[in-house]
Amino acid sequence: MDIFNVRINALKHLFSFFALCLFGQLVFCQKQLSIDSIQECYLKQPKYLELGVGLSYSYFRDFATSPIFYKGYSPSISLAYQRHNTKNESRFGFHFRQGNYDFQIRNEYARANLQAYEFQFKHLVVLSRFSNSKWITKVGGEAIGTINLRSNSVLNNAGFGAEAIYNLMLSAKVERDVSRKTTKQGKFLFINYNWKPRRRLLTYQFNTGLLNGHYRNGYAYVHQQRIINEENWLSDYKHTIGQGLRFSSRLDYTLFFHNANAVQFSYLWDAYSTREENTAFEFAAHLIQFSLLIGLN
Amino acid sequence: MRKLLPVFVVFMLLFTACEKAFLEDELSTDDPFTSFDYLWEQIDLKYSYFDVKQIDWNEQKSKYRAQLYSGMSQVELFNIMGNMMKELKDDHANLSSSFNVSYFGVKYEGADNFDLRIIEDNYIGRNYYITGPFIHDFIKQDSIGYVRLSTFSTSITDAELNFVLSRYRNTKGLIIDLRENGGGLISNVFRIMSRFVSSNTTLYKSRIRNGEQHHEFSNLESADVVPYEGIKYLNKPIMVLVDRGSYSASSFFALSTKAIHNMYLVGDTTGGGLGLPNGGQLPNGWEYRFSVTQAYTVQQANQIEAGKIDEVNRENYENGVPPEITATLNRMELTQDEIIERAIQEILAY
Repeated sequence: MDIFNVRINALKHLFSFFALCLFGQLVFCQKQLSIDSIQECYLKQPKYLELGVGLSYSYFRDFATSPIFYKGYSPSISLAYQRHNTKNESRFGFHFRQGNYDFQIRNEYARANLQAYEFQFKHLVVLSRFSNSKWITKVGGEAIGTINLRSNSVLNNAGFGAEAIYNLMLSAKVERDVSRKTTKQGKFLFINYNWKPRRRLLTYQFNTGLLNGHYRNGYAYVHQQRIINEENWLSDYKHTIGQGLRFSSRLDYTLFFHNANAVQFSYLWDAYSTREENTAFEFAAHLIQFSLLIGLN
Repeated sequence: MRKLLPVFVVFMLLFTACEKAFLEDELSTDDPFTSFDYLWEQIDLKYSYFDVKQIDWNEQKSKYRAQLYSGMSQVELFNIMGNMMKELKDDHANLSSSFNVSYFGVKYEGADNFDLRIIEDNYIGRNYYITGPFIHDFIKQDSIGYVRLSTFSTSITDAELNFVLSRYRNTKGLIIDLRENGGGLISNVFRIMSRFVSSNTTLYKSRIRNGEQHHEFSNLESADVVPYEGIKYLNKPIMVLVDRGSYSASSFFALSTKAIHNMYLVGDTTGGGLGLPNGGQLPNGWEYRFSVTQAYTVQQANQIEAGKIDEVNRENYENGVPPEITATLNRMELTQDEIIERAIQEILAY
């Protein structure tokens, strides 16, 4: 093992140590909060920083170059700022995903790489008529902008692909308070447990594209800028608004710590299609995500 | 509200992860008809030279589709689809699989006009310079520079061009040998041409297919070159040697010489390849590419804009850019290269 690898490993261990310290600090070392209703909880702790890591199974197809779905697993990270109160909720987030996507039939094999950069802004308002201390219902909108950068060497001059997909989504969210209000003790097989009261929340949000648009290649997909000695490879790109479909949903299970920080386990689904004739771009992802919610008060 | 829980669960199950409801079906298949039809349609929708080459694409579909049958082998299917692509007479039209690549082979339509050994034995010897992709040396009592470029595949640097052009700055003329140069990076064409112009120059014009009809194209766009601020080679004759093996970027280079008064093509018609190839994949996983653009001289572009497309199509530079001075290599005569000799003659008489 050369000195470079030794240093890299040392850095990794150092980073892991600090990450563990940070996690412990966030989970155990802030002010104590009692078990309240969700609304009270939001009043006491209205702002969160969300740090997430995830793994997705996703697949895509760009009919402009291939009728074949490329499938793969890709890791992702997300960063978001959330704000809640008794009347509404806002979230501004960034999500990044990168991975290799494969295709194989018989001996024909190809691999594509996809990087996706996504910006999200959500604003939901509470429907008081359909809410109580256990359930909260919210509706609103979410704006999503996704930029994909793709490469696939078997496609020759069409081997690099890029597009922007933007959607204004209609959103509905249901929150269910599943907190444990009292201490539970017992024994499972030979293991004794003593579960203390804990605030927990189960939420589900569904989004459907209200206004969908994209910024994509022109008719021929490849551009002729390189043969006319120009640099602008976006010259034949065009905006299309009012075409396409996008649906997404998010199921979150959130465990709040007594210091107001929380961890969140999520399943996210996202699927969209640009719906052009002969050249549509289609994508679907199923993502499992773990997030740390850091109270910002 | 407890009654809402089942509704909540049912809604989640119904509307989560149901992308298959609106994404189109998986098309990857072994069915020969599906892949054949897909390839034919992609070419029909995007290939750029149907009108120039007078190709009846529907007729080709009838001819080759009739040869398909269910259960045929992959090799049989490849040969049929590859043969259909060869009807385009375009080496930028290829079908690729894990076991074969189809190509037309335009260079075999002309004589073999190049033999490096003849040049080494009779002109540049064995101690010639190798500067990047160039091999070069003085010929004809140091009065002419001979520069051989066998490929455009590697990026040519300014330093390489500075060295080569500095070395021959006092010669009477230059010979640039592009015979059997199958092309590569077209950026090299502009990098070299910037040394041969003294003012901003439109080398050629190009347009790209932009509609389902075979004649639908974008407006013609100029390929301009800006003079290099440094060592150049101006106002002396430059003979560019070409043959049927000069393809793609070499043909673009040949086309560009038509815009520069002191550059002349010597040899045989080039192989063509003036269309930028795209790239794509078939339902069975094979890959294809074919031309989606057209390139013309400035004069031809002006004719097209004046509505004289038929006259330009008759010239058909996609079938090869013609030389101003025709010459062929006599392969029985090993003591001289007739094409180089003709170029020398032209330079000395300039």
